[in-house]
Amino acid sequence: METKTVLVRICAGTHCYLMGGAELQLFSEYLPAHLKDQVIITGSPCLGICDAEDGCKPPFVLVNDRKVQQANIQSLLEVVKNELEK
Amino acid sequence: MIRKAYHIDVDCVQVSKEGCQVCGDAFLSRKIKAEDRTVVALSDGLGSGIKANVLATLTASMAVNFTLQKQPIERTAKIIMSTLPVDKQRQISYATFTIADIETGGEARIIEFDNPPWLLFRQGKKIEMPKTELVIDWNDQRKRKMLLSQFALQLDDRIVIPSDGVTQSGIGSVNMPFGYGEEGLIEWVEKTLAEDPRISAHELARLVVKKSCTNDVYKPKDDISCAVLHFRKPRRMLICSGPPYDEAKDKVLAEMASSFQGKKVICGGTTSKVVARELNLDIDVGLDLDESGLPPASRMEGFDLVTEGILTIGKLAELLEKQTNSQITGSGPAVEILKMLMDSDVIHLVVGTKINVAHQDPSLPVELEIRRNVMRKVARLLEEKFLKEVHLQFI
Repeated sequence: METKTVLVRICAGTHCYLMGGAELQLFSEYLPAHLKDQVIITGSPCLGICDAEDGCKPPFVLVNDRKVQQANIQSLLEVVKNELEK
Repeated sequence: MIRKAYHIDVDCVQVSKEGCQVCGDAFLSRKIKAEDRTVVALSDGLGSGIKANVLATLTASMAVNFTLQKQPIERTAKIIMSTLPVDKQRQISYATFTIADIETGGEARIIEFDNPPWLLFRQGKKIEMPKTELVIDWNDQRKRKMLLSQFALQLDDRIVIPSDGVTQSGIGSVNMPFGYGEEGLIEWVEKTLAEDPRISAHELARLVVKKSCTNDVYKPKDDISCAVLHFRKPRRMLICSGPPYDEAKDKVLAEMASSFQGKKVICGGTTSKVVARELNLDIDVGLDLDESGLPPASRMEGFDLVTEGILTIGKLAELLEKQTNSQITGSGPAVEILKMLMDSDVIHLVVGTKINVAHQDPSLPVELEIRRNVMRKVARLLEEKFLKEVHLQFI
C-alpha cells in the first residue's frame, strides 16, 4: 500500500505572516518523527482567502484542500493527523 | 532626449593614522544631475588628527564648490590658500588637493596640487596622460606648481587618486625603504584589475587602502585615503511592488518586468502572483527563516528575487536610512535587495497603487504604511543619499 501523504501549504502573505503565520514556518520542526515522510510542507504566496467575507481569520493554511483558519502549531498538527487518518 | 550613456562610480576609502580618531584627509563628491557632471576632491591637511581634518575638509569643500561654479582653478587655489589658517609651527598655510571634474559624456578635467599623481587605468593598464603646469603666485611670494590635465575618458577607465599615505606607506621598512611608491601602487592595481576586471570603485579603493595598511604593518604612519572613479556602463535594476490600480494594466506590468534588461526584483505576494499569471510562470515559495524576521523570499524564473511586499520594503527603507558606507552586513530579503541596489546605478521603481483590503484589518499587530509613501521614501533616499539615478513610476 502506498503511504498516504498530505500537502500543507502555509500562506506567506503579509496579513497571515503578521497574524501568527511567521511561527508556522517552523512547523516541520514540530512534526513527530514518524509523520515526517508523510507531510509535504511548502510556502505559498497569499492564498487569497483573507479578503473573503466569511468571518474566517488569518493565519491561513491549506491542508490538502481543507482550509485552516487562525492556524497555530497545535491546531495544524491536529488537522494533519485527522487528514492522515481519513 | 539623449540617453545618458555612461555612469561614474565613485568611492573613497580612508584609514586614519595610528592613534588618531579622525582622518586628516578629506574626500568630497558631488553629482549635478542637471549638468550631468560629477566633481570630486581629495585633500590632505597639514599634520594629522582633528586639525588636519578641519583643514582638509575646508579645502575639499571649497575645491568642490568653486569648481561647480566653474571658477577658474587659479582663483580657486588662491582663495583656498588665503583662507587656510597659517600653521603655528610651520608658518605656512597649506593643504594639498586633487580635483576631478567629469562630465558623463567623458570629458575629464583633473587638477593636482602636491598630492601624489592621480593614475589612469585603461583596459587594466596604467596610461600616461599629459599634464600641463600651472604656476601660481601665492600671497607669501612663493611660487607653487599645479598640474592640469584635460582628456576624454573611455568606457571602463578608472581613475585612482591616492593620498600620500598610500605612496609613502611602508617607508623605512626593510622591504621598501623608500615606501610603497607610485610604481608599487601601479603594479598592484594592475594585478588587482587583472584578477577582477569588473571590480567596483569601492572594492578597489578598499583593497588599495588595505594593502597600504599592510605595508605599514597595520599601524598606519599617516592618514591613508584612496579614491576611485570608474567610468562605465550603467547597471540597471527594476523593482516592481504592488499590483496595478486597474486590472487591465496587469499585462503592462508583466510586459515591463519581462522585457527589462538588468536585475529584476518583485516585492509583493500579490504582485508576484499577477506577474506569474500573466507570464505563465511558477512561484516557488521558500520557507527558510532568517534573523531578519521578514517573510521568506520566493523564486520565480527570470527574476533575481521575489519577496513579500510592504514589510520588506519598509525594512528596506529603514536599512537605507541607517546605511552609512558601502559595507553591508546582515541577511534576509531586505538586505539582499539593498545589496543589489548598492550595486546598481539606474534604478526603476514601478509601484502599483491598488489598496490591499486585507491590510486594513484593525486587528493587525503593526501599522502597515501605505506602499506609495514607503516607495517614495526609498526613491528619495536612493537619489539623495546614494546618488543613484531613480525613476519612480506609479501604475
